[in-house]
Amino acid sequence: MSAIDSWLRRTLGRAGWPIALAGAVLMAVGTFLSWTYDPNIVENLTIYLYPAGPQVYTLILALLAVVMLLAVRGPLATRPLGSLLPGGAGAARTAGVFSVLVVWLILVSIAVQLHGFVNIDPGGWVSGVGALALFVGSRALPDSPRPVLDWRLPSAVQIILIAVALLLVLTAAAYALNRSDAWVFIDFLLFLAGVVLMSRNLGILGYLADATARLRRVTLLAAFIVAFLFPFTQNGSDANMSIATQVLIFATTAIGLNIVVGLAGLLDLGYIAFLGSGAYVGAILSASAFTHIHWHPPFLVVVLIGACVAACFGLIIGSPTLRVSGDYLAIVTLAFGEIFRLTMNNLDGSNGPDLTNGPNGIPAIPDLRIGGFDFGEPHTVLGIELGRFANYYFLLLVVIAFVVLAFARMNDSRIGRGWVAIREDERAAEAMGVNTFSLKLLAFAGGAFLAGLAGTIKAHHDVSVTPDQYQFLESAFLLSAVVLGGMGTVGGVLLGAVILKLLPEKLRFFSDYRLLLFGLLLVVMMRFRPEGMLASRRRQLELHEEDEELAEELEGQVADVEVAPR
Amino acid sequence: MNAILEVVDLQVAYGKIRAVKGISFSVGEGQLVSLIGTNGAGKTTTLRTVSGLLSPTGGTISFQGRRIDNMPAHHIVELGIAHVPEGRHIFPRMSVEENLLLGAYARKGQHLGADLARVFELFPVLQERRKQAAGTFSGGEQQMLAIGRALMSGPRLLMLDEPSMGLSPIIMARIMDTLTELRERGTTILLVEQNAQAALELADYGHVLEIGRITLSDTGANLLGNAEVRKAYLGED
Repeated sequence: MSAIDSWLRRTLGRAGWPIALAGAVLMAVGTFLSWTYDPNIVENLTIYLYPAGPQVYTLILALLAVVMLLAVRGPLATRPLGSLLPGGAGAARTAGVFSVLVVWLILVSIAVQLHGFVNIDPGGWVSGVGALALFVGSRALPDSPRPVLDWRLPSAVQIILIAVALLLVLTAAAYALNRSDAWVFIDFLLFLAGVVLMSRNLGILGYLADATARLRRVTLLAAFIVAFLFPFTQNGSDANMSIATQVLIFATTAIGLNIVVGLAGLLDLGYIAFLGSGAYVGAILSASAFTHIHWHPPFLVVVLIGACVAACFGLIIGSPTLRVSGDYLAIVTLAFGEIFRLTMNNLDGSNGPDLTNGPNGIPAIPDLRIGGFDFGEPHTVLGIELGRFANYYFLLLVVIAFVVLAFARMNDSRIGRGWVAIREDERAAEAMGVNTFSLKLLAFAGGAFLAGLAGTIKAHHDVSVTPDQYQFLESAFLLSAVVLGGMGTVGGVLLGAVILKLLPEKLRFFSDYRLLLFGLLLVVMMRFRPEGMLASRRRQLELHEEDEELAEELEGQVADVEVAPR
Repeated sequence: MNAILEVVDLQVAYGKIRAVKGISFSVGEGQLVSLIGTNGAGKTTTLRTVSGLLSPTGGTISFQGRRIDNMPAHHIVELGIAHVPEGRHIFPRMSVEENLLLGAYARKGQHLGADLARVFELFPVLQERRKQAAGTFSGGEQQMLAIGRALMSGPRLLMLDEPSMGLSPIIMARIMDTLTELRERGTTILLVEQNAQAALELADYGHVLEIGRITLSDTGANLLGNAEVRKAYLGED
């Protein structure tokens, strides 16, 4: 990119800025015109003077770009705007890139759905050309360094800022979930990514990250309140709540896996089997008519049994393999995952006991009942109907809070320090008196415990448990969520889980290609950001050792293993 | 003088290769004992076996009258043997402070402020850079950190494996001064060195190792004066 940038800078010189500004204005004007004639695709972009859906994203990007450009040059650049937005050029450049993506994705989708670019109305062309001009012009702008904001705000104001940011996240999530058109959904995600990266270039994201790190408890509490409010934005619709609960189950499991992979550095390729053991325990001990054990203890007991069974499996797998070095563990856990699935497939009474009904699994698991509260019944709170999935959502929120707490406590403790030492230099850790074997076993069994716990709830949530829900692919997805989001951080894994679970649900049409796309995504991540989207400081140091600038930036901060984007 | 560490007829093998072929020595309370010898003589193997990282194939090791051969490494650290490994092996991406706290890993739930202060007094440079990642340190500073880390476990016996390795003569002298200081404070030290001159100058007692056997044992001063030692290890004709 930099070669193109410098070429553009030489050819355009000072003309870059007016070109970019004109482009941004064109983009904005285009959104008030019709983009196509067919009102049934991409959320009706046919009406003049009334921007809808993607046109609104375009308009917002264009206006933001105009503000950034005015902060870089022109009459407003020195006093009011320039001093307030010192990182304008970088942000304008980001706006350029994402304007092209956001506008042209829609134009291409119109062309694809109506068979040809002829079907794009003038408005689409105006915005499209404007976006390209903004992109080219902003590339020629001189660099401005990413500023570090040092607003000294009272902590009350900081808390309000964090709350506002979280509410924006909630609004965006609710809005995104309600997009039924896949093209518009992707377009919105691109728009969102653009806005986030722009705020990063302005230093706002960095400021927020520091503030959340300082006010960690408040942030956590606020995040849970926001997550708690989510079902109330859904008007009793089960479609989105079903996705949300699946995301939560996936995220809980992924955080458990993150203890094993991210903290202790053990590669577990069969983690889904621990979720499966919990789920099977939950199903077998439930009141389903298809189980062969007629003992139905209260659910809290079932949860404990499920988690302990999973932890026992963890101990059985871990104790012989954790004594030897890493690769063996990966192979053994991979095999364990398959053995689990095959065993569940074959425990149907033809050979050995009839426990699992074989490939048919255990269907018709009744909804949970805890202390007279029926999770299958919808409830009305403050005039808003909360359906079956909302009930599970709240329960899972409690579970994930517990898991996050367990994760944080372990990370900050003496045990956490021992894990880091093992990851860094196992022999030296041993010489320092770290009981490496039992610490690794603790991570392994602890991770299995949390997965088993989540599994018992998953059984009731899913209504049925079958062996093919627990195949290797699911372990691979869990691992991808950890790697994609950021090893060793909670926020990163939550983000990774949301992306990996939400995208396939919303984009049904690409489910055939999802493995291909995730593979590509992982390759791209490994090349450009191997530490994951939200990385821990220490991981960044591990993966960018040659990067001296970063080393300096992080110097003195390594002790502080916080979730904070770079 | 009471022997704090007693090694009798110790044998260690890597598979079929016998690295240590039956050596015996002891370290008295408050003494500084040196093991010298060339590469492959079995010095490092001996230390690693004492600290439990390797299992002996024969012989016994006793620490304060207790058998510790075949005891897991973390128990041995808890008993009070600290090991500064060859090549320092500090944790490069942990801060100085985290490295030091890790040294005290075996001491659960104790207050470590006083111990930290003592290490910082011994090596002021560590205090100045306590939040810095240890991997950014120079070799000498890393060696100081490795020694400080070992001291954090509150050891009764400090074992050092080639602390002079890869250091400039000035830094090496500084490290040796530190060892003298530690001994004067009453720390018992078992020092493994290739640099025979430096090691024997400090040592109350020295043992010369050659391919897995002790060939000479005497006081440090006597060994320094020994013609054979001077010829083989100090490069004199």
